[in-house]
Amino acid sequence: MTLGFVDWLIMLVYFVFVLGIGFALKRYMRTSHDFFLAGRSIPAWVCGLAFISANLGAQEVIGMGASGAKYGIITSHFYWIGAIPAMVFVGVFMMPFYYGSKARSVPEFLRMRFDEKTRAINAFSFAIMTVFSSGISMYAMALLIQTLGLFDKLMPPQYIFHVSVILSAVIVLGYIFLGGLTSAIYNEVLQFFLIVAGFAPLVWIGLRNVGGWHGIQQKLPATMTHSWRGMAHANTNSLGVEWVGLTMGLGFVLSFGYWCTDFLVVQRAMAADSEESARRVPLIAAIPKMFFPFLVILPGLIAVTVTSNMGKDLPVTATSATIAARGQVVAPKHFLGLIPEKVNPLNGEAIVDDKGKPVYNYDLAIPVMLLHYFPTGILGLGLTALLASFMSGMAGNVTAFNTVWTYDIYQSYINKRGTDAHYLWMGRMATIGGVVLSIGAAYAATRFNNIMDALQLIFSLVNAPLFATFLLGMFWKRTTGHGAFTGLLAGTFAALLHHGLTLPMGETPGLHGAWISHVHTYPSDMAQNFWTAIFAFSVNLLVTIAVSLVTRPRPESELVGLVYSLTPKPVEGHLAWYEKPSSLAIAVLVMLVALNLVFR
Amino acid sequence: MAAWGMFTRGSAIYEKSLGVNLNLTWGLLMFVFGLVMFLVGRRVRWQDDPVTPRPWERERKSRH
Repeated sequence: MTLGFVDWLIMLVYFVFVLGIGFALKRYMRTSHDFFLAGRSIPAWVCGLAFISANLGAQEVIGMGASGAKYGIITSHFYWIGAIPAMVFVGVFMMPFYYGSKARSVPEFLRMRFDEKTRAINAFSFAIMTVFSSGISMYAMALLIQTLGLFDKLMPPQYIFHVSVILSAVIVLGYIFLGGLTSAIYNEVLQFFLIVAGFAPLVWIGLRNVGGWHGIQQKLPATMTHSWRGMAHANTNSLGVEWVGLTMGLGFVLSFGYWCTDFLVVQRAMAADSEESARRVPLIAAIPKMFFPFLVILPGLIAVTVTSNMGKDLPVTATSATIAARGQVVAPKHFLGLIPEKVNPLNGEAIVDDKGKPVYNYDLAIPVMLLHYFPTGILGLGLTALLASFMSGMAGNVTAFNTVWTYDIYQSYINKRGTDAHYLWMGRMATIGGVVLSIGAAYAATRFNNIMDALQLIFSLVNAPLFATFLLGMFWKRTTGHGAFTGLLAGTFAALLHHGLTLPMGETPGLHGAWISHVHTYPSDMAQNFWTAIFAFSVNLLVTIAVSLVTRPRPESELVGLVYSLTPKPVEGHLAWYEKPSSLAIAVLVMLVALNLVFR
Repeated sequence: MAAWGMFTRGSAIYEKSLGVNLNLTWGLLMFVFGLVMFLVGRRVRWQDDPVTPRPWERERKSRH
């Protein structure tokens, strides 16, 4: 692929700007409070955009585009069911505890509410997961640069992966080392606008080409253009999940487990300038978030619609030209629109499945759309938006890692009596350490074929039961530290057991499940994931309640500000109606229902 | 982008984008958006500053 001078210039301006924000904010980083918590002084709308941008990593943009091409608009459930209700809940109910307790991190909140061992289990597992997540973003970005052949004319092919990894690491390290969380947040806002600016014209021109949403509906099967059709049974929709599994597994356990307890996103809200602002952050974030399917999923649908004849008796038409690995133009011979076939990188031949059918590289849905529709100039903007999404994912993980490492591991277990200047220094060292470990994780991903699947599995095993601990901790004053700790371990064990006994259809026992015994088969791996989460949550809930009932609770006086029933309700009387978190929450929920009705 | 779009008006590069000069139109739109954000940002400058106390905090401090 060949880029023009102006494309490179746009990318260069972006990278200069990103580092410039770090340099501009360096002088404000006087205390650890400034570095890790952004001085708790950022306006709500800035934190709100950073809140969703930190989540807009590589897996999000590339993965959602791929799922849009593969499954259709039904993928939007990951936003409408799998994010918005949880964001409303964390804003309305949980943020007063996080912000009001003055905890500096989610693990620290767990120590305040429960005890040291519950904090330790969360801090260590979270720190490890952030490093791997950041490494995977780095790996995916380098792989994409290599696949698209962005640097082909600049250096020999064997160096491209290494240079991409090092370059992204140096830039992310640069702006976080200099400006800490403030720099990460302001950069995430920039990245948010860049992603919108890069993808909005792509969707507009793509829709114009395929005859709008109506054109897509005419060319694709109904299951791809309706989000609720066929959800009564797992075998009648493309996700392979029925509505109970979807709403309970994704909509409740996994979604609430992520948006309400993951420090990566909660940290952005905790940087807000007041408790009211902190409560508004997830609600403000929910508004653009619910429209993001139109930016990241719709391009996938357009990509398969351009010449698609799926489900219709139209004559077979071919694409004008599609890119395969490394930007080569290959003869058009498939019928999935712009989606290129997977090609063996060693011999350049198309990969086929066990039935002899070609395997499609859905991950390239958005990149091929950019190359197909964007001329030089705006192509640079589109690619910069793509790179920005990878970097925001990386930076979010690194800032969460340096805070948890410094406050919840270093200050708690290694050096309790350091000065504030020492912890600020340690935060900067942790930033370097986090980036170096991420590079290690990126290279580990190149060595093990299944590392991405394995990590995804570990994340779901650790995250799934977590929400039960927070839910009980915040809303049931009787919950004890022993209960929370035992419940967390039991929930993770239950998730592991469920995974070891079940298998998605068409998979062989091993990493995908049934490594203990094959007891039950799920229609898809998504259904298995959702039900694993439901089991983990339920076991954690029951065990925590049982153990709490037989252990001694903390005195109520120690739980003020940490438990709902013992904490004064937030006062909203001085706020105008449109500033009240409750008004915002209702508006968000109304819009959510409307979107589900339109695309039902 | 807008400048590049001006220089390349009528160019064959826009066949890809169905004849629409995306560089010019989108570049101008982004420029206007950026300008509005810049002007609004200058008007409420204290919000850009992550350290300086907010106006109400300053009032509180001066009272004590």
